[in-house]
Amino acid sequence: MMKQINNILSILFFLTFVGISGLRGGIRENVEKILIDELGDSIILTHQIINIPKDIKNTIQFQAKQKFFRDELNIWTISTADTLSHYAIIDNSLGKSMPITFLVIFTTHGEIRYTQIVKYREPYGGEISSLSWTSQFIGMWKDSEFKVGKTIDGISGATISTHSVTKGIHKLSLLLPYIKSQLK
Amino acid sequence: MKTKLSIIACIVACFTFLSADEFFEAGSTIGGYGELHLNKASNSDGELTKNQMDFHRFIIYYGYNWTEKWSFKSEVELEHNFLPGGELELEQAYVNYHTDNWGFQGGVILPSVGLLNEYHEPPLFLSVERPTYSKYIIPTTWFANGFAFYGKFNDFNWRIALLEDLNGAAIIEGKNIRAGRVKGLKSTAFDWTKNFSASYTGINGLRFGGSFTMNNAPVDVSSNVNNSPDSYLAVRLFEVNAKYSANNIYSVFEIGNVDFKGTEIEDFDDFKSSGYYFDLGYDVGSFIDCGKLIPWFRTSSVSTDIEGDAKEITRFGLTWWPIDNVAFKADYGTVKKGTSEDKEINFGMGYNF
Repeated sequence: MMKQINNILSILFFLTFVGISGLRGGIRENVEKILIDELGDSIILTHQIINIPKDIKNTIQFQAKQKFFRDELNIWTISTADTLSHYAIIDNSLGKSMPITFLVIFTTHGEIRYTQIVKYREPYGGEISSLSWTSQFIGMWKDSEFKVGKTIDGISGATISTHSVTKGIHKLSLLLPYIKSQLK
Repeated sequence: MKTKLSIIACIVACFTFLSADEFFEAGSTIGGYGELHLNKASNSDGELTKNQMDFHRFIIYYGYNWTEKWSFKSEVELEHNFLPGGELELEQAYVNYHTDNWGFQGGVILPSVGLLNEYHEPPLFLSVERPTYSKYIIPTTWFANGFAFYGKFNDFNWRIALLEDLNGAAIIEGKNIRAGRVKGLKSTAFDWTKNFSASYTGINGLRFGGSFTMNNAPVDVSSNVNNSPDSYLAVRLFEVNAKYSANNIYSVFEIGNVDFKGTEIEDFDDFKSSGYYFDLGYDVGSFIDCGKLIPWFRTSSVSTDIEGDAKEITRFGLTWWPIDNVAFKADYGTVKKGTSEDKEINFGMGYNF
């Protein structure tokens, strides 16, 4: 009897592990799918995690009026036919109570090519995931004015999220010139 | 036995691993909002009828995120600064399950009705006080025990909420839906209040939505809690709302109607409430580089039928946001009802974080 119970529990454990492994399609994998969809399947992606130097981090946080989620950032360098063409960065900004994970693709000149909300975890304000909202950032760069209600249209019912993600995208635009040299 | 415990521990660890996304950390968040008001009013004869300073609302928000799907959210509100005299309310307290396209809430929740009921932080609306419409037609803040399912499909958002009954007897006595809110106090669910809502947000800056809410509000539940009450008040609230905030233009329109029909109620005549308001403002802050500064105008009509003539409200105001989370407000308005005309002047300050 004891042996049977143990066998059943072992099978349950195995199935749970397999199930979890299947479910755990991580954010990084999703981002790489987005990059291929947006830039074509001939691109070569190089992923790396970089540490943001403390002095640069403080300077940018002050300028963008928002903290970085962590000291490390997930960054991809993207090449087409052996030529560096884009950078992609993902980061979090805070909504009312949950982090919002977003992706920004930059050209090598630091201009925003594409942005997308990768994960929105709040019950309210999910409208900011709409591509019609995130496409407003296309063409902006570090010196652009990132201001909701002025250069970026707001969304009724998503006030905190729109301001937070706008600051987050501005923050990454400011950061890129400082970290380009660290990227492989 | 030891083996079993080890395996169970492994399973628990696996689930913990599942919820531990590198872009999410379990933990709590705190927020809040509040507003200070100075209200003055005079009647048709020019006599001062109100001269009051009031810290109208003080709210603390607390949330805890167990995983990126499971969280708890709550709001506790103190109105008018002091007890007794003011009110202390648990305005929200619910468990939320959220996935990319749908979610579930259970606890003390808000029905999705009108623009202000769910989004009522003071920097989100123009006037010092909430619009009269958002008091007597949409009884903000309307909160209740219940459950809700919500989701989105492209640019369309939907929500279905099942909530406690309204108090039919209190509505009849107060002659408006506002009086019938039970606020989660030992509420009943004989009929459940059904709240259906949808909105469209596919155009930047625009939100267009509407809702339908229905409940057969029991009039007397004290006699026998095991049976549905024989006498009840059928409440049917239908409203449409739109908000546009882009290109320096700020505009809001809400219109709604509430029907009250009685069944087995002695000495009762059916009645209804209806109303609307329209706000139009323009952000001139960018011209003088001072944050957001909106001079605005409101026209509104609110009728609760039983009172006879509708209240016709005209209001002008100026609202200044030095930063996004703080608003200073001033407005002046007239409230006409029949032959009487009251004048109101209000100053206020609101914040959220």
